[in-house]
Amino acid sequence: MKKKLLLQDFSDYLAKSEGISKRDADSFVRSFFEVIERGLLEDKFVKIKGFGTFKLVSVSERESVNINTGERFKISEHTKISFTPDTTMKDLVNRPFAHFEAVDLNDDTDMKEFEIVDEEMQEEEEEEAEEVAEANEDNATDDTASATSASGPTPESTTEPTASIQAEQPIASPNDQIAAPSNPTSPNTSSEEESATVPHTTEPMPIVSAQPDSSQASTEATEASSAQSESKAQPEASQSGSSAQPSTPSEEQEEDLSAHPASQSEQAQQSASSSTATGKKKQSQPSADEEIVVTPTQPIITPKETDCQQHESHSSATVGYTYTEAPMPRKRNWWKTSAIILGIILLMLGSYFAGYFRIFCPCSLPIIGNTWDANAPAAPAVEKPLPPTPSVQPTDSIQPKRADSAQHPTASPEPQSTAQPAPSQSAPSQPAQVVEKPQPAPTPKPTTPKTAQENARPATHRVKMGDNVYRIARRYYGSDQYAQKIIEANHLKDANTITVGMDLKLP
Amino acid sequence: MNNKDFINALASRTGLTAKDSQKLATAFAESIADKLDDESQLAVQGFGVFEVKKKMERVVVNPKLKTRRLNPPKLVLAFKPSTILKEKMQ
Repeated sequence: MKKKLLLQDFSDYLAKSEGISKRDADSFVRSFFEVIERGLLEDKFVKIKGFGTFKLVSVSERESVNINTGERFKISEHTKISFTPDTTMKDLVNRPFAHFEAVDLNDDTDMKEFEIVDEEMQEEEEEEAEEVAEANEDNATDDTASATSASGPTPESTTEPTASIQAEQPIASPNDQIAAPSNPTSPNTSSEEESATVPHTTEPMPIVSAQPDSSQASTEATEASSAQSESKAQPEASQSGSSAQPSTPSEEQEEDLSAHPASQSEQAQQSASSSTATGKKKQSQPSADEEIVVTPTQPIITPKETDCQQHESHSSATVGYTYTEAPMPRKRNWWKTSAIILGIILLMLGSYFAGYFRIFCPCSLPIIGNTWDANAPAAPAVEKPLPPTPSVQPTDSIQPKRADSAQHPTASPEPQSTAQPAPSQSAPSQPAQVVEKPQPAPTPKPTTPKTAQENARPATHRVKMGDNVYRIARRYYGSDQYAQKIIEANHLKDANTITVGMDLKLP
Repeated sequence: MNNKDFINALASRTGLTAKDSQKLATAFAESIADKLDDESQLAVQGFGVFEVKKKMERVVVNPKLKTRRLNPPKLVLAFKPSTILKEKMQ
């Protein structure tokens, strides 16, 4: 809905700018419209310099058809009030877009290019919308009702995860050329998300008991999704996902897919943070975690992402359209990364347990204390190499989890055998300290392309085929009106002087 | 009623000189153009609503030459008369 300005706002403004009293300005503005009205009644037209022309146009009687019932009926003769703004007025109103000029299109400019870009953007927006829907679900449960109702027309809002995969394929297939690359990837997303939900849902269980499960599940997930990136074994993955958690994933999936129409890159950031927060909630400190968790997210995406990129570049190369910035596959990794982070945090919890326990009863269990000695230094050592090296092998990401699961079985018997409940009880209240530990370490790390993609807009934009300034502005700022700023920042002559491969600064 | 008549009628109504009222009228028109943008509208009670509408870019074809042309997006000032005004004008 547009913001309504009243006549009073304008009379106040007029009083200020022209140096007359508010009362005078008000009476002037009122009589301005009264005179127009009178003039229209008298002369049927009023022309005002610098404003425009009001005219009464008589519309003769005509027949029309009621579109609902098909009945014919007569529209009686009436007068219509038309307003044509003056040229000066037109120019003033159109000032933000004044620099645009009409361009002659050559016959060989293919409109398909425009369409392709549009479709890509639509796909992106859909994905963002999914994430936004998630965020809404987390933030306010009331919103979910409206979100699901809004998603009614979209075919993706089907209940079963497998069904949604099937539903997505027909959507992609009609687009003949672009369909080829997008087809293998789009099923990937849905099943990846699904497989990612599995570790999420398993982790709410009591921490000690859950750890073996979750690590298994997440390794399963990574294996499954890496298998998928070779564009095979989709059904397997979906089955493993649904069999591991029969009830919850489907529900979550449904709500995830309920596309909320609002989609902006800033919102994507929000949703990212809150999607990681979903996992965290179970450890009962959602708000504090959000910032902390987001930062480590970026370095750890590595193995799967590279996989996906390769895959993407393969498929796009076959078609001939190579989009070097393929943002879509990275977004899909949010679930995965958050799962991995959870695993790492559990690992840290484990190492914390180890250290904590050693402080309190170093003497009572010297033997186990020795085993802790061996384990405790190992944990940070495993964890540290992960963030700084962005290209870790897929096996590495599984290893820490194994180490994690190896540690915790030893951790669980201890509190019981020594009959010191203190550490196990205090542990759930402590994680604040534990989780804060990783913060200083990962933050200074170089930001991966992911940050450039979504969290903040990049400093420059490489012009792709089919790009234009408005589209770029819409993408990074959400509105065409910023096109002017881009043009100014790049000292462009006008909006049409950009070429493919050019780097545009984004102010 | 052309501009001159309009300004004179306005001047006699407000008690200003014709020159002043012309100045105010232009200032008012400019303020409308300034303040109205894509997200706001001016609603005048009993008269109608002025709003800025955005027209998207489009491709037009010259019917004679069959050449295609990409027209840029533009902002247009639109006026929608209120029902009160419409009824008065019947």
